[in-house]
Amino acid sequence: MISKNLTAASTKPIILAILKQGNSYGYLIIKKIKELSDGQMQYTDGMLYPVLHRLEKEGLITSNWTMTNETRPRKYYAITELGKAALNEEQLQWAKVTSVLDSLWNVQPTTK
Amino acid sequence: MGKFELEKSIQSWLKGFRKHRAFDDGHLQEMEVHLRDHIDDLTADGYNPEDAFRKATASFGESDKVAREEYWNHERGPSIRKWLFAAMLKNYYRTSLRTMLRNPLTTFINVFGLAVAIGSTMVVYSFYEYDQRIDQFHEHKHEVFLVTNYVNRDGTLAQYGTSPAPIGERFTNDFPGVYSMTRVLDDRAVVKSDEEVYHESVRLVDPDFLEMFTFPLSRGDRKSLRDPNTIIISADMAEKYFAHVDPIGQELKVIFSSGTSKTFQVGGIAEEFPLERTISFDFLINFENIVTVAPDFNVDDWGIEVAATFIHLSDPSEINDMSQLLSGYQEAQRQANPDWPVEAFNFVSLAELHQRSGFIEKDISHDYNAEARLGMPIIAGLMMILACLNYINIAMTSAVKRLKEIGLRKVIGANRGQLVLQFLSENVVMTLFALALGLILAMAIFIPWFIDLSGDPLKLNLLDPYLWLFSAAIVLLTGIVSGLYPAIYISRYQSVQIFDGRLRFGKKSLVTKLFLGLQLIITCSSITCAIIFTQNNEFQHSRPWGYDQELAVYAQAPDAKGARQLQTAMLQSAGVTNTTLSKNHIGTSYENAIIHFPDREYEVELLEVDDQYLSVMGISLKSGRDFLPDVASERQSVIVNETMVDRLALNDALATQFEMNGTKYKIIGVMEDFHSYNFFYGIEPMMIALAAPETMQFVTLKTNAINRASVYEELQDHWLELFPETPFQGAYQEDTWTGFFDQLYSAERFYKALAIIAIMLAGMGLYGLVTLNVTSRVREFSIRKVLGAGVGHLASSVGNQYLVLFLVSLIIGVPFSYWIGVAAMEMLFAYPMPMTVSGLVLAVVIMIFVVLLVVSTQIRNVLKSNPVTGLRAE
Repeated sequence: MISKNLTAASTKPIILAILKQGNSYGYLIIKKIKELSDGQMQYTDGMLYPVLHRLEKEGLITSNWTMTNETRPRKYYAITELGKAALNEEQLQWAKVTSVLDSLWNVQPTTK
Repeated sequence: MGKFELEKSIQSWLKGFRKHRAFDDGHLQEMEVHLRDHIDDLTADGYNPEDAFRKATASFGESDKVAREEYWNHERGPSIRKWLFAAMLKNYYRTSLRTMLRNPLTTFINVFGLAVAIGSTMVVYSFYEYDQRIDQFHEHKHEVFLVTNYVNRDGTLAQYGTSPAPIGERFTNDFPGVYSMTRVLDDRAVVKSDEEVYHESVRLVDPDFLEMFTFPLSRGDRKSLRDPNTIIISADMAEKYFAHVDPIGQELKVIFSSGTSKTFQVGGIAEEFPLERTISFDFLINFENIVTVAPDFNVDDWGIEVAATFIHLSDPSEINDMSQLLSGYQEAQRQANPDWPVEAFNFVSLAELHQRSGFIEKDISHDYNAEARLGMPIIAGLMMILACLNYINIAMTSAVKRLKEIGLRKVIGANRGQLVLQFLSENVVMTLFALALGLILAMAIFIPWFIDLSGDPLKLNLLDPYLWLFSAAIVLLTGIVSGLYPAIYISRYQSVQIFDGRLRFGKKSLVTKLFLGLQLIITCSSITCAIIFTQNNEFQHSRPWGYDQELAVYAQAPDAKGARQLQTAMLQSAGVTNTTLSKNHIGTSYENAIIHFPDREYEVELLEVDDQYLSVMGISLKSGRDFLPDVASERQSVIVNETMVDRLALNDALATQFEMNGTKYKIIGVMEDFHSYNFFYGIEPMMIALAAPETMQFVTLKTNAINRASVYEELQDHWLELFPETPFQGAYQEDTWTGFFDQLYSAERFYKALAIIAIMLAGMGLYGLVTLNVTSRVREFSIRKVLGAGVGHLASSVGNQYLVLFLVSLIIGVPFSYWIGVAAMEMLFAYPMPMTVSGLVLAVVIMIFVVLLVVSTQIRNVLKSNPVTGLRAE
C-alpha cells in the first residue's frame, strides 16, 4: 500500500501523464490509476475532482462537456502545452528523486 | 426501513454535496456522472443496486473533505482576499437580514425612525439644491455685477443694493472693461389694454438688460427694447391682458404713478420664468421713458437713486481693480447727498447675489431664505440625533439576545475588528432600508407639505448624482455614527463571560439611560417650542397695534385732486364718522427724513398727513397737542413718537427744535408708540408732519363696526364713478397685516409637525426599550406573578427605572426648553411674548401622557401574560 503523502504528491504527474495518452474523464482516470497500481494507490474518488479543477485553473489541462447519444454527458479533460511542459518538469524531478534513492539504496554499508 | 430506491439515494447523496458553497452546478453534475458510472460498473460485476451504491459512495468519500479541498482551489486563486471579504460581507448581510426579520418591532422602530430623519434631511437637501439654483440660469451670471454701496448707519456699515442714478453711465464711460450696464427702476403704474386694466409694477431698464439677464423670449425680439415706445411683457401678463389676441404689436396704455401716461407697443413676450428666480419682471420699458415716468427725475443727479444698477464686464477679474477707483464717484455722491454719505462702493456678481442678498438691504433680488438656510439643517440634525439615539439604545439593549452569537463568533476566531465590522455593516444595511423609505416619505409627504407651507418649488430628482452622493454620505455617516458605539460596546465582552452566564448586560446601562434622557430632553424642547409658537401667535394677534386699525378703511387715489373728490363723496355716507387725507399712510408708505440738531443728526421715519389723521387713526397723544386746523405755522410743527423721544434722548421734547430740509421745525406733541410694520420689526423713531395739499393721495375713513362693510362698498362705488380708468386701490386697514399672520400660521404648523415627529421618534424609542426590557425579564415577572404580585407592584417594577429617568429629563429639559423658547422668540420677534409657565406645563403634561401611554402598554402586557408560559419559555 502506498502512503497517503506519496499518493497525494504523485497525483499531479499521474493525471497529466494519463491525459497525455488521450483525453479522458474523471471516473475513467481513477479507474486507470487503480488498474495501473494494482489497487496499491488508495484514492478517495471524490478527491480527484478538486485536483482536476485546480490543474484546470492553473492552465495545465482544459475541460469540455461531451455529449454522445449512447452515454451520459461527460466532462472530458485534455492536456495543454503548458501541461505537457509541466509533465516534463515533473518527470525530471521524479527521475532525480528515483536516482537519488537508487544510488543511496545501492551503496554497500562501509562498516559491518 | 423501506425498500432501497437507487434514484432517491443518489439524489439525497447529491444533496449532501449541494449544500457546500464550494461546488457549482458543473461540479455537482460531474460527480453525479462519476457515481452513476461507478454504480453501473459495480452492478455489471454482480453487485445489487444497494450494495453498489454503498460501495461507490464510500469510495467517493465524504462531501465535507472534498468540499474543503475544493475550497483550497478558490483560496489559491489570485483574489482570495477579495473573495474571502465578499463571503464575509455576504454572511454579515444575511445575518443582518435575519436579525432584522427576527425582531420586526425593533426593526420597524429603527428603520422608520431613521427614515423619518432621513426624509427630513432630504427636504433640507432639496431646499439647498433649489436655493443654489436660484437666479443661476443667466448665461452671464459671472460677468454681471450689482453695484452696491455701504452707508454708515448709527455706527454700523450697512450694504445697500440701490445706487446713485448716474453711476451706471459713468462706469461705461470710465472703464473700458464695462461694456454694458443697466439701471433698474420700478414704477407702480396702471396698465390698460382694450379689455383689461390693473395696477402693475412696470420696470424701467436699459436696453442691455435682456443681454445681461438672459430670459429667453418666446415671441418678439429682445432688441426691440431699444425702442422707447416698445414694451416687453412676461408670459403671465400676456395671458392676463391678451388672452384672446396675439399680443405682439398690440398697444398697452401705461399710466405712471406721477399721473403721466404713454402708450406702448408690445415688442416681445418672455417665456415662462423658471421657478428658481428672484429677479424677473412683468413689464419692461426703456429707461429713457424716465422723462415721462417721473418728469423731475434727473438722471445726472448723484443724490437720486435707482433701485439697482448692474454692470457687465468682459473680464470679471477686473472687478477687483475697479473698486479701488471709485473715490471720485464717492465724492460726487457725498456732495449731492450729504445726508446719506456712501462710505464705499462694492460689487456682487449675479452668481452670488441670491446667497448674499439676505445681507443687502433694498436689494431687488430680495431673499427670504436666510433663516431657513440656517434653521433647517439644525432641525434635520436634531431629527437624525433622535433617530440615531433610538438605534443606539435599541441595538445595545437587544444585544442581550445576541450575546451567544457574539460569543460564538469570538470562539471561532472572529477578532474584535471583525465583530465591529459585522455590526456596522448590519447597521448600514438597515440604514439603506431607511434611506429607501426616507426617500419615499420625502417625496410623497414631506416635500409636498413643505411646498404647501413655504411655496418654494422643491423637488427631489432621482437622477441627480449629487442626491446619491448625499444619500451615500448620510447612510455611511448615520450607519457608522449610530452603529460604532454599540458595536464597540458589544464586542468588548469575553466569550467566557458570555457562556458562563455571569454577564449582566444592557439592563442597567448608564449610557442607554443617558441617551434616552437626551431624547426626552430634545422631545420636551420640541413640544415646548411648538406650544410657545402657538401661544405666541395668539399673543401677536391680540397685541395692540397702537392705533385703531379695525375701524379704518383707506384708498389711494390716482392723484391729490382725486383724493379730495373721493373724500367729499364719502363724507355723504352715513357710516363715515371722520375722514383724513395724507401723503403717507401707516402700513403702506413713509418718508425717510434726516433731522439736524446743532450737534448731531438722525434719520427718522416721517408720515406726512393732514390735521385729522391722528384722530381718524385713533393715535393717542401722550403730551402736547394735535395739529391746529388752518393755521399756516403748523406746517413747521411735528408730532413725534415715544420711541423717538427715548432714542434721541429728547429731555424736554416739547421745547425741542431741529432743522429738516433747510426748514426749522418744532415738536408740538408726543404721541404714543404704534406699529407701522408687523411685529417682526421694532418700532422706530417716527414723526408726523403736515403734508402739502397737492401731495395727499390717501383717503382714510373712520367708520364703525356695523357699517364697515357698506362703507367699503360705497368707497369702491365712488371710485368707479370718479376713476373709471383706474382699478380700485384700497383696503381695510386690518388687511395690511394678513401676510404677516399667514407667515406666523405657517411657522406654527411647521413647529407643530416637528413636535409630532419628535414625540413619535422618542415614543417609539421608549417603546422599543421598554419592550426589550420587559421581554428580557419575562421569567422574573412570571415568578413575581406566581408569588402573588399585584398590579401596583408589577407596574412599579416595570416603570420605576423610567420614572426616575423621566423626572431627571424633565428637571433638565424644562429649563432648557424654556431657555430655547425665550431665545427663539427674542430672535424672531421684536416684541416677543412674555414667557408663561402654562406652555411649559402643557409640554410636561403631553410628555407625561406619552410616557405613561408607552409604559402602560407594556405593563398591561405583563399583567395579561400567563406566568406558566413565561416560565416555560426559557
